[in-house]
Amino acid sequence: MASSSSMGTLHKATFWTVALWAIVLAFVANTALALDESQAGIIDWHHKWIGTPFLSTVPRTVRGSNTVYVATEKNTVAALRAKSGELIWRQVLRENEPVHHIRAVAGHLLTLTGSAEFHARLLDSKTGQVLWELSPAGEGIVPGTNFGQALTVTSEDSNLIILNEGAHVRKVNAKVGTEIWHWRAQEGSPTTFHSVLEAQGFGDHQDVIYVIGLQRGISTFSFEVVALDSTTGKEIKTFNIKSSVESFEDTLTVGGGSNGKPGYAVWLEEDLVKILTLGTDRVTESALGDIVTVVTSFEELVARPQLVSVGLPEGHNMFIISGTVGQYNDAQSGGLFDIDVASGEAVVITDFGERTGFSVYSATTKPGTEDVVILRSFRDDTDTGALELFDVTERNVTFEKIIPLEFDKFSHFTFTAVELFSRGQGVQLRIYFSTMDGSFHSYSDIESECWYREESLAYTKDVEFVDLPERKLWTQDANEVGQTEGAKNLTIVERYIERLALHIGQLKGLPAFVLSYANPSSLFTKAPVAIEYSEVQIGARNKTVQPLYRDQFGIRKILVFSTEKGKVVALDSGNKGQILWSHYYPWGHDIKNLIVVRHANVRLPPIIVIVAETTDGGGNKVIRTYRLNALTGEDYESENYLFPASSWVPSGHVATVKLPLEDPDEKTQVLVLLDQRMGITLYPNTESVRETFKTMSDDIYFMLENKIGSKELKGYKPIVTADAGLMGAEPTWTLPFPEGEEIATLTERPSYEVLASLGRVLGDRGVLYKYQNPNFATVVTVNKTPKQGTAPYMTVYLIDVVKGSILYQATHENVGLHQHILAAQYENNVVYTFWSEGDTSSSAKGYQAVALELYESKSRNERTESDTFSSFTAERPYVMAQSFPFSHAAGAIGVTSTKAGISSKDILFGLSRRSVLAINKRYLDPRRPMGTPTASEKEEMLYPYGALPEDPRLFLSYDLEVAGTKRIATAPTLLESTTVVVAHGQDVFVTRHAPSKTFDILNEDFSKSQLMLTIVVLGAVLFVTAPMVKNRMLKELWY
Amino acid sequence: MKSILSPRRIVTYVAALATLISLLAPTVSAGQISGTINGQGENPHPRDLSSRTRVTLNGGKYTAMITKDGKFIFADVPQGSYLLEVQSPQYVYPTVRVVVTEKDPRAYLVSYGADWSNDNNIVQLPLALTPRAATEYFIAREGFKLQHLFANPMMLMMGFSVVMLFIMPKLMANMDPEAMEEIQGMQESTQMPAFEMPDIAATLAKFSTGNSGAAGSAKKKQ
Repeated sequence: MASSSSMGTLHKATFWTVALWAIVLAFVANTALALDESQAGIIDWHHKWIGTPFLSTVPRTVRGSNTVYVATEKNTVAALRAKSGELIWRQVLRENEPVHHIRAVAGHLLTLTGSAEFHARLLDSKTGQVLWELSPAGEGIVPGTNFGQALTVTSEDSNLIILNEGAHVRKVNAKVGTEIWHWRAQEGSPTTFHSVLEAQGFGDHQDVIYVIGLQRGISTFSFEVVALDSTTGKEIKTFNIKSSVESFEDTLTVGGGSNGKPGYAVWLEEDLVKILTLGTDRVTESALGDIVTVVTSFEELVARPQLVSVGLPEGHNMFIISGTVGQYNDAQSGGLFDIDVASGEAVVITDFGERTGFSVYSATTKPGTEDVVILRSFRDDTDTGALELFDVTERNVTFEKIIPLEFDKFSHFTFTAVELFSRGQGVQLRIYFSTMDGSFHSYSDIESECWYREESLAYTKDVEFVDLPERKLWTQDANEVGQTEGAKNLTIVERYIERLALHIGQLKGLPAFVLSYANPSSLFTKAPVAIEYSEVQIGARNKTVQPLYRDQFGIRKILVFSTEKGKVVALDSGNKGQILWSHYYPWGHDIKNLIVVRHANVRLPPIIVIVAETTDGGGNKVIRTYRLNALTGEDYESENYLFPASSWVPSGHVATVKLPLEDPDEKTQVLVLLDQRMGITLYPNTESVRETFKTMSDDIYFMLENKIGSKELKGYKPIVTADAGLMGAEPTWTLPFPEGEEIATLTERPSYEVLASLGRVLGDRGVLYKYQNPNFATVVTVNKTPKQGTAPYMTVYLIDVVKGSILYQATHENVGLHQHILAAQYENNVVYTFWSEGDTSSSAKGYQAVALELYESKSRNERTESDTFSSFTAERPYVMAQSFPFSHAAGAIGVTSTKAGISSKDILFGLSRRSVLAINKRYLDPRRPMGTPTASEKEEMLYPYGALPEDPRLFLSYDLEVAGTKRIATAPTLLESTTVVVAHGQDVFVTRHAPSKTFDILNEDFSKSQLMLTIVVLGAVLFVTAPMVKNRMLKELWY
Repeated sequence: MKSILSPRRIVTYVAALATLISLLAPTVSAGQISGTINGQGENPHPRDLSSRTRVTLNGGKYTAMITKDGKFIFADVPQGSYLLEVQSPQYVYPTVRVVVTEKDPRAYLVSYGADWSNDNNIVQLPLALTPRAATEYFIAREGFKLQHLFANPMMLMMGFSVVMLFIMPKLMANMDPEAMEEIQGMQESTQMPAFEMPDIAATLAKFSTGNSGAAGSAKKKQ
């Protein structure tokens, strides 16, 4: 009896707290949330990235072009302003639509793209709009390769010859995109064509298009060249050339470009360089051995050299042979070759000599002439890169330049393009290049026209938020705790006097502070205006970074991104995302984790640890860890030898777990590194940490094999030997999924989440108690074979990570696997979305969002009778589920997080329409009534059941184009109402969002001027009425 | 030397083989979906549509870009029924269900979450889509205006009482005693039922009667 009455009081207490919050939130969450136009660009910023260019073209003009067109690894085609690097337009293509070729045609840009489908498009030079599109039905690219697409422009009528799928050749009208003729290789032919070229004809045939391909032989390939009539597309003749080529990379097509110039196919065969003159059977050959005697820098050649295309337009016969030389394979040399028209033989033009690092070549012609210059770019030192321009007519290096290019930020060149144009009397040079870290640069003779875009941010994997230190802590307390030399030997009184002096010193700022508030103009100031900026400015070189301090509400943070390229980039969230620091980890560092182990402290800077997997010299996988000062990006060196700035574990990476444990020496959080030998390494690995870990190791459980595509889940717990010398992980449970099922997505509750209320108040004042197990995970599996329906099905499992039991399971039939399946978990809720194909042919198709809510019991006011939650009890949650039609295709999901978890939650979606959408939890509520709401449901303020809202005002990113969002991360601020939202993937979009409106600060709508006017009016009224009242009182006394 | 190059060679072989297979594979009967979209407002022209605009089938399984004259085409889609949507940053377009068959493709207007068995809203093929509405991303915020300040109920109340303060005594003074008593009687009778909740109207009323009472007493003494 006693227990039940105590339960009763508990219920009451909980009820009131819950009810209070419900009332508070009901007030604040009732109105629709949206931005107003003046806030756009003030509270948010957006970086438009395009990815790392690997193709570029300029509309070739003598005066130099204002625009450079690039195609990137991110399947994006973009036009950049040549002088500033700013984006003019971009077309972000599908994820499975790589770009094969781009070419400036008649002032516009022609692109060949696609994989499963093939598209040739002409894009408008000003806007990027499609002028025409040619998408032949049933054609894609040759699966698994990057060749089979080619493009050339005919000289006589400026039409296009397009090769696709290694078999289809079309002549296309460049103006309107109509097909003039179509030739296709014989069905079942063993030849894959890779090149098309207009060149000198043979016999009676003047206008000939050559289609060059490789025919599969027994162990090698041989050349097959088909000559087509340029006007009719009729096949004239097929040349089968006796040859044996090992791979497509060993071939080049040069020359041609008009019906007067001969075309050539160049290839490497064994130790020979062979050249075929197109339209004939003539093949010439020169031995590599003979070449080495001329190109002397090849003497120390360590492997067979390669053919390098210089990227000149048709009509030029030059090509480069390049090879790795040097004792440590650390240098490259190359030779430039031309083809003698009369004999069809290779002629050496020059020996480029041996240079360290990788050399990248590109070529162009001098303005108004056909004279070729060749640019060789290479890294010559840790801080600089070198550019050498070779003039072919002068046979001389005419330009040499050392440019600053830090190795630990940019590494080697991967792609270059060069443009020469005349300006005034002289010739101007402009060079574009990509580097290994992903960024894109431009060098120009004019310093103001040098720029760089930090395109590595288009490859972000993960983001970590670093809170900034407070300004006053840094200045005065750093003194007081004896950080500075002078402050070390002071008594308490002296320190007090010093602090007093400091405060008095600060008084001189008081008048300005008061004035800033008293200034009448501040009352009527207009809202701040969004400052124009570009992605180039945010990465501008030689800018000094001011020391960073926290703002009043902790909204300003450092965002540290890890990228797929192996670069770590830190942005200032408060300053349009200015780059604070960046660091490139070379040679295949796969950054697995980025973890803040220590937040800014009184005198200690925040520390971020990078956990990366890489290979050592012997090709074995190793884990490497780096400790950085998160404010500066410098290695964080400690005086204690147990805390090295970098360390390693000799095995591959499996998992990193952050423990709720702080080491006593450096006040950093302890990490557990689990390697492929199932060994555990503590980080930092000190005596006291090992001891503490041993005592708590019984309570640690984690889940592994949790990769997309795996077919089972495994639970592990750590084992520690008695002396804490050896540590490892042993499996505790295995959960195999039924045959055919594999993991499509999985999610766990974020570790930093705070639960504000224990239950949910119903309309009748009853309480449903939330299921608070912190150790459950959501796993979604898919099975390609339909069960009952017509399409694949998926199963959702809620799994207790400690004991591996299934808490809840649900199957959805007829699910689309081409569309993203997303899941997010927060508090006692799970949300997942998928594409439903519909059960029958007449049922609707569309995205569905399903909301699950987990409660301790089905009945109200019923709790598990225990003070603590244990995974080892047999209790299962009561799960409420409801699905809602969802009108958007989403590729990323996130949930808002606030400091105390009191504000309501918004589910954030990164949409394929390139927006970020916020949907309040109230819409994704399984308790939404299906029929007319009853009185108690109305009192609970449930929305009647319906599809999720489509309102564009729910887009946090309004009309911005936020492309390729892969992840949405949120971080709390010091304001309970507000959360910082970072949507990243290709673009970076950062905003702050208040899911329950800003109830803890004055609203943006609050009119300070109105308040002031009211006070003034009241004062005036008082002034007028006071004598009247006085008068009357006097009168009353008189009469 | 050869061993270094051989993986590449394998790739090339696989590619050649794959071409062969793809060329030999039987073609699944498929159709094409095409249409045009346009903007809204006075003299809409497709060239004013954003270059970001995409037309999607089945939530992004297939995507088409639009040309400058508003055309889009899905050259090759297998038979079946599809949900066609237009993703535009500028306008909201209707969603269409397209049934691709060999002979007779059809299209119907559908709304989200509704069943697809209703075949009433047939639309012509090739599709010609016009926006339902322009997209509004922002809420309009009302800036500071003097009339808003005075339209505020607090301000109205205050203004009213200030006005009464001036006018009432004069009004009372010009009134004959009989009408005065009548009004007072009326006020008392209306005051009667107001005890449940102290609402604003009642407080205001009390306020004004207090004033008039004071004025009345002053008159008596005269």
